[in-house]
Amino acid sequence: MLHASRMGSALVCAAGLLASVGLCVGADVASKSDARSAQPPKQAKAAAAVAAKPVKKLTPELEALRDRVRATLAMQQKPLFSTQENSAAEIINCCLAFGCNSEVQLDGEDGKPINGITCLCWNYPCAGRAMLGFDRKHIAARVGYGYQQYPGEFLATLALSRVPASYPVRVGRDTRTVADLVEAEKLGCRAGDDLSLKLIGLAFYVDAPEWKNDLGETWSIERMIQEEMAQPVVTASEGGLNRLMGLSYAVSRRAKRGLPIEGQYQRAKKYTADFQEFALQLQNANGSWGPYFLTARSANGDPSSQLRATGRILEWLASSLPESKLEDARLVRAVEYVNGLLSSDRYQWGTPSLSTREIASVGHALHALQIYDGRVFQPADVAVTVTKD
Amino acid sequence: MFARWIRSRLFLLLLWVVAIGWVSAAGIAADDGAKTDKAAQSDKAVSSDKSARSDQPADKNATEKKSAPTAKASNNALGEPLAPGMIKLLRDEISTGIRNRGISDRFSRFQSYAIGRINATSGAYTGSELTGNCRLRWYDHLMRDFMSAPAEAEQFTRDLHKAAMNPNLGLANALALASVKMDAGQRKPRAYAAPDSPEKALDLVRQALTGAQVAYNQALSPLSKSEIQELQTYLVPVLSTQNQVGHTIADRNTGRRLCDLMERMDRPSLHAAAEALAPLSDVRVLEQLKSLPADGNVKVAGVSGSVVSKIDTPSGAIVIGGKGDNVYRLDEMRDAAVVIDLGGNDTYYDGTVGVDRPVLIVLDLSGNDIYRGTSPGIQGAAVLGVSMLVDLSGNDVYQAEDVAQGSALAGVGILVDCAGDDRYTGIRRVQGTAIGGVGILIDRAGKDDYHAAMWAQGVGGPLGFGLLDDVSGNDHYYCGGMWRDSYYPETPGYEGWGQGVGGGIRQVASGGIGVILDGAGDDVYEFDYLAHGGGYWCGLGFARDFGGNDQRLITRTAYNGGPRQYEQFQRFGCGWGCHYALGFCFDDAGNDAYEGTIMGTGMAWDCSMGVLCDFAGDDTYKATGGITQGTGAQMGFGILFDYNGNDTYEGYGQGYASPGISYHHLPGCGGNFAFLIDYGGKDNYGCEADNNCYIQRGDQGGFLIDRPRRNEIESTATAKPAHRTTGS
Repeated sequence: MLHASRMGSALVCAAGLLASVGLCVGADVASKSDARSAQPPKQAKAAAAVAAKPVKKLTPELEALRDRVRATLAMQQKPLFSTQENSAAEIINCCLAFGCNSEVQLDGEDGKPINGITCLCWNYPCAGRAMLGFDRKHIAARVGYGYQQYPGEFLATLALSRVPASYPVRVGRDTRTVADLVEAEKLGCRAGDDLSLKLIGLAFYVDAPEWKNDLGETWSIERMIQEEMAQPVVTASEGGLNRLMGLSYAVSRRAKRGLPIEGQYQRAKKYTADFQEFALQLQNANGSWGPYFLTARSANGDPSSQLRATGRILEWLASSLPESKLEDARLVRAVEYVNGLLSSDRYQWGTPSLSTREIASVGHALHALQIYDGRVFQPADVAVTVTKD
Repeated sequence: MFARWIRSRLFLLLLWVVAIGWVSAAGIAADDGAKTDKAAQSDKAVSSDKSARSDQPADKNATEKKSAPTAKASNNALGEPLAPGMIKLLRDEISTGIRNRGISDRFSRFQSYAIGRINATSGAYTGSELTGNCRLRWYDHLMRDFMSAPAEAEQFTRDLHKAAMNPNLGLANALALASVKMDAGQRKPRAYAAPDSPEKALDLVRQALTGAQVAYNQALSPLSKSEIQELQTYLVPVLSTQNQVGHTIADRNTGRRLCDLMERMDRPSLHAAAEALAPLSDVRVLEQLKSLPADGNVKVAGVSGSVVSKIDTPSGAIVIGGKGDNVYRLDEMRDAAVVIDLGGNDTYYDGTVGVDRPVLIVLDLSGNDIYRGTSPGIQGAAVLGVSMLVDLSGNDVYQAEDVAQGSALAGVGILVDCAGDDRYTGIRRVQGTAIGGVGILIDRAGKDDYHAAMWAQGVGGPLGFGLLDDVSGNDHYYCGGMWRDSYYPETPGYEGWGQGVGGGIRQVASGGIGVILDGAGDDVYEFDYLAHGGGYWCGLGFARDFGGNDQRLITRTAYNGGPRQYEQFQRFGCGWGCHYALGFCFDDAGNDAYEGTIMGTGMAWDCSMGVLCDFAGDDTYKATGGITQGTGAQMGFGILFDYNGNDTYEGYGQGYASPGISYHHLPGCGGNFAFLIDYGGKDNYGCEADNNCYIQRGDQGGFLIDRPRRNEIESTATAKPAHRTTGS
């Protein structure tokens, strides 16, 4: 094991490398939404650059919303999570929000900032616990208090951040790659288990049509979809949003690969589309969803439970709705609502010291804003190409 | 002459139809067709049982000589099949009595007043010592409908025992019932196929472990790290070890803070953690695990003896011990989440859980084992964690002090012992006790001995579901004998607080659900104050014995087995409610004895309900002091209902309703309601009431009703009519 400070330096270097060489290219759709791009396009123009035409034009209302959302994202990236105080589960949520741009503070408040993904992949102890261990001779992420909250959650976060399968992961002196994590997840597939987040990870990393788990059973992404659809949504954990996210993501990855949407994929597409309509029907007038998630229309005076439901539902809708529906007034209201909550006093400075659940709510809500920014606002930004002189 | 004879016969027939006819077997509503068939035979069957059981309940010294359970009791571990119908009769009798005496308006006021108090105290802070924090919906519901409460209690205890009896899916089904009652949602137990190989069984263990880890994490996730630290620091001292009285705690401010934090925990997830572990109590899974290969040999710190293997999983390590004798020092095995021992006579020390090791599962598959420790939260018990201990066979010894043996504080503790004559010893919060979580002890067979001092044997504190279910065997329960009761010098005796008590913490929080159930076998229950089927401070308590000749006694010795320091004196026992609470005691079969000194045997005090129902047998009610045997005081609704058998009621209190109330305002609160109802048999009443009588006892709300059974009607027809219809 490296001495902490030496390891910290190595991590910082690795983080820089990871970002600079473009190994880690940000969240799938939010990848374009680097929080540093919160600076207005005017400033970019000032640089010696050639400006290209924006793909689309925003209404004044959406432009105003864009500025508020970007201000919130920039603000929320400031209070750094610390490996001394925050658990791996909390840092995973930080990574979910900001992808490969996430930063956490090594050790205490005075510690050096290091890349969040690198911190987790290199198994740096968070709140005194190192998340990665071994399972079936492969490196795997531990599950439970202080570790990832759900099986497959870490791999899903890596997938959503588009961390390549060749990126190193470490347990002690044993250095392997993310591909090893993928193998562990493949071997652990079980009928009847909650496969939601595992589905996101495997849909991103697995190219092979089929594989076998450690019991010798044959599995595939299609089978995972089938298993997931056999389980309930509204009574599942996190209001079933993990499940819907997994199904939508699997379909979207399939489409991105240019493969036909048929069989289980077709079923999942229709299933999630029906749920999208249902979700919008349950939305409150102010754009929020309440603590009953998709069970019934609900509302609560407690901002944390409102954020928990609204952030997660918006995250799923923003990532899965077709482009044509992203500027629907109902979705815009939801973005306004989430942005309003995240910019309130409650979440302005103290996020890292909140409960794990509330940190997760903030992480998913920020991820929702990142996705929306990437899909709605950024295409209207002026693309900038830096000239040589 | 003939016409007069006919008229007299018709009159008797009419009398029989109105007053007794619905006591007949056909009138008892059975749940299903099968029960209806049995109903037709029930009178005869019970009658023939009676003739075979003419012996009177013996005292404790004679317990060892008692005969084996009757064949009927053994075969019918679910107790009296017609019990639901009998409870319906009870309800009808009470309703008719109130109506016929013209006090319906009084009862309406009684019920409305209780509802008003429940409404007025529903807030977390009310300005009085009675608050609505930690209050359960089922409690709220029962307080709003006293008339339905006995039937719901009967069904709940029957369903729970029926579930627990199943050696495969029993725990899962019991947890599903508990989850609903504890406001943790209605979920179907997870379906799984019975494993057909040891590898698949081991895979089920892995899945259960992962499920428990995930759910536990979710349960704590609404709390911040400092709040979790608070719970970890204060739960044990404040809620257990600092205390020597049962009704409240020494540090009430911190207690309230802890209850507030537990109220914020994700309780459905806590119950989900318990449900995740349920497959590991399935005998089919355990039998498969016995076939795991036993030929490995690895070293594991904290274990002496052979260890077959240690398997690292993302949810924790699984240690598999060999078939020889092992010693496991569980607290030195901090990375172990599961211990599977394949055989041998093993010794286990401690085994705590908490945020450092959230989940611990111990599966011992064979041998006479000893579980020993002094730390709180061991032996299938948890403080801020999830713990399960399953012992498949052997005569086992469990020795602990506080929070042990299927108990929990802000967590899940489950202990299932499948066979053997076992001995459980502890002090406080042991043997199926919970605050802020689930504590379950199920012992499936054998002659078992349970020994504790306070808060033990099926106790539910705030937000807690505590269950002790001993499915079969002649068992002995002891709760009390250590600490002097706190109340008044004129009432000597020890604290008890056990054996089916749902108790809140006075001035801190409302109570939970506490249940003690016992299947077949002749059992002896020894207890001290506030014990055996009682509710205290907005809690719900249930005690039910489904078979055998049972004795419910005041403790004969001190806790340590020596002579008592205080004279034998007991109050609040055998179906009681005290301070806005409901308590139920049911006995389905056998000739039983009920002891107590004052305030017990179907007694209610202060806006409460206390019910004692004995469905069969020649029973003796020995509590002779004030406010006993179907009585209510200070706005209480007390019921003692005995169906069948030649019963003896000692003392004078039967069905007495006190006319005076000082805790609440008359006439607004409706007064007291007291019922002693006895159907069948030749009974002796200490108050000198005759058989076949209908008497007012004390206030208008006091009833002593004795009716003959259907097959006794001939003798009734020829006997002189009941002499007294009023009196005291």
